[in-house]
Amino acid sequence: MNNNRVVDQIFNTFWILFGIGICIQSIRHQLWSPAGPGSGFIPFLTGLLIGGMGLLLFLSELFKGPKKEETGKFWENPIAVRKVFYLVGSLCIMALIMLKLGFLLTSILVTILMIRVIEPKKWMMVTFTSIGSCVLIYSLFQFLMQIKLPKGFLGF
Amino acid sequence: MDILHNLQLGFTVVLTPINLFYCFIGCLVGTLVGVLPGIGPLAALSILLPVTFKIPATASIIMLSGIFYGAMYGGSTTSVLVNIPGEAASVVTCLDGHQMAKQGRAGAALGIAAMGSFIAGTLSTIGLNFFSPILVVVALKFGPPEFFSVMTLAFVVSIFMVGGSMLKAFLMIALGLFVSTVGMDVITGMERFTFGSTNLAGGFDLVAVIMGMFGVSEVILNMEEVFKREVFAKIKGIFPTAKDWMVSAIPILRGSVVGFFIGILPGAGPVTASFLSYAIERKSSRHPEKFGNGAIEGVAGPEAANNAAVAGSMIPLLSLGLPCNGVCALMMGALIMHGVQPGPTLMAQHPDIFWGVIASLYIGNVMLLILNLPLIGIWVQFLRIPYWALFPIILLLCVIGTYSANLNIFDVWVMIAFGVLGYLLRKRNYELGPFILSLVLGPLFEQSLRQALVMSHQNPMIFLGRPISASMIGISLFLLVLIFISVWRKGKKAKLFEAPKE
Repeated sequence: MNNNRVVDQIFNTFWILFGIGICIQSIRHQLWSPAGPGSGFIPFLTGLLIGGMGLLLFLSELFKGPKKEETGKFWENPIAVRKVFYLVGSLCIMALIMLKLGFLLTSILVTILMIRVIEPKKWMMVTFTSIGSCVLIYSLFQFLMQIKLPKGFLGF
Repeated sequence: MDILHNLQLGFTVVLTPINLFYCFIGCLVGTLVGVLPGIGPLAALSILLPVTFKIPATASIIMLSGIFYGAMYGGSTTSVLVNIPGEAASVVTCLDGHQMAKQGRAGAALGIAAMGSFIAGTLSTIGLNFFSPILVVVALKFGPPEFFSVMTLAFVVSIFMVGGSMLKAFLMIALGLFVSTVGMDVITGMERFTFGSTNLAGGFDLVAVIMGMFGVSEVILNMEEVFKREVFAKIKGIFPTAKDWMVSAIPILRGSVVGFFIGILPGAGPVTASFLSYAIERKSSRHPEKFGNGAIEGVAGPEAANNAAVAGSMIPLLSLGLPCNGVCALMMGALIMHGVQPGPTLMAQHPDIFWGVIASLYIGNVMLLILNLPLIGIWVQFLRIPYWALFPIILLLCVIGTYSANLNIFDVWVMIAFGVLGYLLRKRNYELGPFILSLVLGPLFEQSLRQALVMSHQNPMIFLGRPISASMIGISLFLLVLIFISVWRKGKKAKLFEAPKE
């Protein structure tokens, strides 16, 4: 499961199914109208290409002999996998709470979380760095560049 | 004489305090982006795109171009001093630049990189000066069939130029085209692939997709690696010796020409230009064994090439309204947001923008030379920022850039989703360049195809009946055949099917 070739075949299978899905949906959007190509025409072609290329990649992978690079692992380092999941998780948390808590508070909390969990450092250093960088970024964009950032229940 | 007169207009535009200020900001940010590993010019441009809404169109595009070529200058600093490329176009500079630093010649490497970049940047801007107006005259004859054919050629060339699997590049082109069709069809008003979501009615936001694919995925990829930074902080003698100049002069000139023409090609750009220049220098050298061991030509040529490619890639953008790469696509997006349509009519309708941008390249190159040589010590200090302190800032900037474009949290979710997709694709050697190209050109590609077929009463022969269109289609077909024949004849099935080695 953690093998690059298996991952490639999962990718290729996904492309085939995705291509078929696009084609089916495109037909519902009308492929051709009396005036010419309909709304579904280009998506249908892209579906064909995606599915077709996925199939070719699948077959080429199937008939290819084993090679060193291909039998390597998709994720070589278990710590790296954890970091990736934590990072994506932190971003999702940010997207979930940003409108409620406001940009500044959310960014400070998420930055502390990301640094502590992904690259563990001392609390003091993490807190100081997070607050400093977030306040700086917030001030720069909110006040200097006048870009509207979400304000939470605290008003910032 | 007309060109000189117009260039004078350009200088009048760029030499106003506001435009000079934004040119400087662009060069400064670009250099910083180039110096710092983990954030490329594309991500930086995406982040700063919302900032441009508040400033005039000319100043916006001047600043964005400054970031683009500033990153090319700054990238060499990190390559030479840390052996980590600041951005993708400086990868080859690591090979000889860092070896020179190890031999105590970091100053000479940085000096020749900056001066080579300056010479190439200036020469290629002169090229841009003369080529763009000529291309505009040709482009004014373009109708929907010609635009469709040019874009088809752009897609084929971008597949041709990839270093890895061409099947995967094909797939990326198709995926980009598909993503561009999501949302309301402007011709029929029908919603496509929105599944009832009002957020998707306008399609995926370009900034969110690009920020995810390049910014977020880059950070995730970097998370997997542990950077061991050994910075060569002691830099002596940043001015190359007469001997260095003797050896580097021809590679700089060759790099300028190669970079300029590679820059014009769709799907290529500074990265391809620098690799090609390195290969040419190595091949034409009397001492190829010196390459990889601190040959100054290995720094001079590629650094000149990646800068020249920037001006080259501005030609199709300004003259045809066709972006060759992701950075140009974002610049095009910035102009459109200001109500300015890049293309053949830009020179006539907005000469201040057209010539102002060209003139700003001359000014920007001088600014960058000053920023990169005497101030090198300051940039070295930035290299001491640890990645754990840097990555949250990059991600926050990505979130701000994405959110502030439409003030919609849905775009942040799109950015995260495309960030994960981009990470997975990059892990399995799918190149994202063709994806971005087709994503940006997709709407115009579809519109041109449909308009052309309406014009011809559904007769596809319209694409072969007009000389420019026919020649573009002919070249595209020829390239496609060439790709397959060369791969099969030489028995290099590997090139077609296999992923490249990491």
